[in-house]
Amino acid sequence: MTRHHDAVLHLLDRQLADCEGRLVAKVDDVELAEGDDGRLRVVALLTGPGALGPHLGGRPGRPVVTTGGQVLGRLNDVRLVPSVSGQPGYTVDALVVSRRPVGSTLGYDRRAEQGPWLVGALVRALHRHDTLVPWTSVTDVDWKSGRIVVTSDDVRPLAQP
Amino acid sequence: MKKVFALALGILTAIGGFVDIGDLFTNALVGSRFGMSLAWVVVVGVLGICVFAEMSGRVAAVSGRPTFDLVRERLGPRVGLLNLLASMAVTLLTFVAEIGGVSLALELATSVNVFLWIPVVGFAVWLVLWRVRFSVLEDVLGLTGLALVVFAVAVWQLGPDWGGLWQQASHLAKPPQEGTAVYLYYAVALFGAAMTPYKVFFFSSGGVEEHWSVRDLTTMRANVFVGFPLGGLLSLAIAAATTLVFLPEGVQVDTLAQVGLPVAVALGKLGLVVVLVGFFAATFGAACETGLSVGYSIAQYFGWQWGKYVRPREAARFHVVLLLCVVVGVGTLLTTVDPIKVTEYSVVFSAVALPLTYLPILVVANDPDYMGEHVNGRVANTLGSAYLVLVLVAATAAIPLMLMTKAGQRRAGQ
Repeated sequence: MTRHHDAVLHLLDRQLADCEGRLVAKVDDVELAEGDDGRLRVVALLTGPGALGPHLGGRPGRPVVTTGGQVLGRLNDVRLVPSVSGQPGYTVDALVVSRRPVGSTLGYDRRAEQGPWLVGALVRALHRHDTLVPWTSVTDVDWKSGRIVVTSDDVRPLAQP
Repeated sequence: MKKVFALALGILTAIGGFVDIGDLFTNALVGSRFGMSLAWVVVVGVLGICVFAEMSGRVAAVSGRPTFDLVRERLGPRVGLLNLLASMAVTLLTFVAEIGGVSLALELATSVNVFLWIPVVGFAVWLVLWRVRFSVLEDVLGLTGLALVVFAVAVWQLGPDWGGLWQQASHLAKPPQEGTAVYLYYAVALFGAAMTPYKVFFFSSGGVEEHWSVRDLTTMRANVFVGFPLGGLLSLAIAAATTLVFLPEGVQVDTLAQVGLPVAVALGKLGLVVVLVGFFAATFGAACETGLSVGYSIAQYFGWQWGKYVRPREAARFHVVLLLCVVVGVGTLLTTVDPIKVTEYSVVFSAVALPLTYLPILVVANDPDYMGEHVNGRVANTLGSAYLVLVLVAATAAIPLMLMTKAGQRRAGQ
């Protein structure tokens, strides 16, 4: 299994430390940029009030729709894999799409057995319709209106079986 | 031998540091009005704080993450901020109450007016937070706090009808003159006093301050599972003492002097001296803990360097927060607000802030990415889940009960 990380779960809100181990700041936002091949890469970690502020308003994720016009949900997270071809950093590999307007899976989608049972069952029930859309299925990202259009072929459930 | 000594020291400071003004006053008040009929809440609350302190201590030892780091990581910036504001408000309120408690203890000892003591105490707390090493602070105040054992001695000296006390404690026998809503209100208050969120903020951040690692897990567990329950027994001894002296007279404990009165009755002047030392150490220690906890949680939310393990200039923002806390605390008390009232409100509001603190601890303690092989076992998870439900119930019930009972006042005509 390739090692993957989710941007919101594993990068956002993490502690930044300097080379001597002194604490510096939190990752308040993650900047992605589109490469020549049309894929999104993590290019910067942002920190400071300007980066944190917009998140405090609880802005919902971008809507994700299929080419057929069906609404899959909203973008909740992006799945990252190490960049190929020797480049450092991470590339967006898939989109995590949720029908829930807010709230995350708290990492419970990663392992079926992770306890405690009560919290796990509740989170999994709330997010049972969450889906994973591979980046290859994304046909268009409309940066102005914020809509993401995808083909529905390879959409699969998020939760690990 | 050195190891045994360290273990004993840890346990003793855990006992002495367990009781703060919230435990002290709430237990005394409940004893005077309800006898031992609410003792079960103390037992439930102490087990709860043990479960979550062990979890947060284990997370701190294994992953080096203090609690508020986890709160923001798992709940995100928005809900994290909500929790920060709620728990900070409660902790600051407790801090105000503790400084008030220290000043009241000094007033009792010296007959110098409390308002003259408040600025002095504030300055002393700030000086200690700025200059004194973390381990010294914890050890000295924790050990001195053991003076409160005098309550247990006083109960024994008062020669109670042990069977009667046990009868009250085991039958949940609410005194007939008190209403059910008031009884439940004080149950929530006692629960909040025992499980107040700053205790886990302080415990886990303290673990990081003292550079705990996996090797320290045994020591940490001994502190929690031996020290905390014995500290809880101290709480029960306080309740028993006021039960014996005040309940038969129908007098409600309203002041710190009354909290100490049973000891003076049983043991005379010498007992009084010891109990005043205990009051001073317990409240001064808790003032330092709550002040630090406010600094810890704000710094951990924003990612600033925090802690007393670095020099103050390297954690400048953290120390500014501590200074501001002291200024706000002293300022609030100088408005002549009653510290005892502040205590009452702080324990009830802390019940409201509990769920958002304990959920992330429970989630992360189960995540092998952080914990490796040290994830929660079945017992920790069963208890943790049960307490999460309990904490949700207490948090939901706290404010309605407070409004219904006018914050626990006696019914008219009594």
